[in-house]
Amino acid sequence: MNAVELFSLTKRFGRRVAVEALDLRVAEGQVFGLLGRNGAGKSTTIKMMLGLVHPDAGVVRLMERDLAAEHDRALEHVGALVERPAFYPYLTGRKNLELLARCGHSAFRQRMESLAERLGIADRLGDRVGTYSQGMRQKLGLVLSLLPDSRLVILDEPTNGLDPHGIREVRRFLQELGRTGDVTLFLSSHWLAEVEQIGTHLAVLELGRVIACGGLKDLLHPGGEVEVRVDRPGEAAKFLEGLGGHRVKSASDGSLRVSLEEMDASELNARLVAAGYRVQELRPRRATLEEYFLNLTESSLDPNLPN
Amino acid sequence: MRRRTYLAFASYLVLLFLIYLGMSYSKKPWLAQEARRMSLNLVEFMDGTFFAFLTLLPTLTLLLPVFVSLAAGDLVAAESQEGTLRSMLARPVTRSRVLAAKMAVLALYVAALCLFFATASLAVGSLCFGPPGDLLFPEMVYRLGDGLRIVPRDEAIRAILGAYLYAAGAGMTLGVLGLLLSVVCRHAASAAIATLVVYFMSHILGAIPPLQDIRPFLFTTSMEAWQYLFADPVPWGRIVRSAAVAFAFTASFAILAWMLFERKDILD
Repeated sequence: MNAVELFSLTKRFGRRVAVEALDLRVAEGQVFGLLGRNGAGKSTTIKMMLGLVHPDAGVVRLMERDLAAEHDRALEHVGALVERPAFYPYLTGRKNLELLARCGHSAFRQRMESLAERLGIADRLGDRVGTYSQGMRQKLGLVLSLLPDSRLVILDEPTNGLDPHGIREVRRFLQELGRTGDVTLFLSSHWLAEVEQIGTHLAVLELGRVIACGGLKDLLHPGGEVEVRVDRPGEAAKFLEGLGGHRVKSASDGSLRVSLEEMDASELNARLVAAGYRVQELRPRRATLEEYFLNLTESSLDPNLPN
Repeated sequence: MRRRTYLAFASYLVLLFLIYLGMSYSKKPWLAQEARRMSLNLVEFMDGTFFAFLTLLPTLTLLLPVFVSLAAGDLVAAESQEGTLRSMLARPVTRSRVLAAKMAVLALYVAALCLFFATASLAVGSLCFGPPGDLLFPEMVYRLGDGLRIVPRDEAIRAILGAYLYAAGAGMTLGVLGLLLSVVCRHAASAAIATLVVYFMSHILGAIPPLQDIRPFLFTTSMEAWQYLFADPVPWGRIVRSAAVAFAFTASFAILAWMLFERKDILD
């Protein structure tokens, strides 16, 4: 079952296109990261997914229900934290949660207390939100997004305003949540390391369009490049270049990054060994999400590339 | 509604105190002369009923509109500005329900204000000037005539309470206009100010002699119909017609507010 399905979603603000013909599917249980630079259309997409912004065209389906046709039922098991968390400052954290989650029964209260406990704010739930720090509000927003029993949680910059301890705490919390598979997490974040650590799938938006989408492992392991550690790396690099059909780069740690174009990894290994080099390590190279993201978003703006 | 909304109740008590001071030190020579001409002792009429009557006009034409505009302006714009509207609407609740709930809260607030104004003016008046008695008032105050009118105590109290009851209903016309402008404006202060500007502009238009023909069609005219409760005989037909006009305005503003709120993009 798909937790999120977006079909040809489009939104314009005046002449500016914020999101254009966006198609996206997120299966239940995935931890999905939506990446993109500022103004790429992430927040607009999330707001359209929650019915806060009306699309000019396209369909949003959440938990197999059409948001436009069945608004309440589509959002029944959806929790969200959009941009900065907003609460009534003159009410207590507990009252805010009860009011905004529209729930007051005892099972709800138990879950609320246990989530607050897990995020370290249980002892402050009785205080007015006006006295909370930004980090505490962020955590309260996280608790709210999981109430009363969310199966799809949409989080826009969930670690915004948190100190390093808070970031680690929230990241672990989300990791645990994602690992259970009971909840689908849809994260939008600038914090690429965060998405890399907890995400299973991602999409990259640029100028309102999806420019990459798929499993995190597939995207970061393109399969065309290996990292080779040999004795005499300088000579080995020249040897490989002499074979032709390869791009060889020397990394700062002394290893070589070789693009595989006309031979596979085992043949490359055999050639090096036959030439008398001691191959200490040969492994598929995994780009970091940051490298991947920067390469992708920079090349998408290259005017020489076809659209 | 936020705490400052409830300041209206406290500030009303301050107004009553100021009116009390004004009454205590004012000589009212014209009124006294008129009363003497009718062989009446004006001092006998300075009681709780007269005090409550005296506070009616500034309360219902000035204070109530200001308080209602401030509260209504907050309803959507302030929540949108602070982001709580986003938290609320990202939940399984329709916008119609949110708007209906806000309208219900506004209606309760206007009713509570009117109830408080009526009770406080009668109570403070009785405490300061003695228990309610017959009401003596110059008819020109409400453009009902030229002389002085005496209204028996029970009838006067009924008229004062009726005026507040009517104002509670008609006040919703302005309240719903405020709600409409709160949907349109991004800032609560802009919505409240815009509501008051429309209210006073409508009042001014109604007061310009060459524009008397449009007066019956202004929403402020229908909001003032409580004044007829002090006429003899009470023109019930006119009051009912005014109430119907006020209701038509309220319904129109509400429908427009609903249509705009349904289409509003929550961007803040």
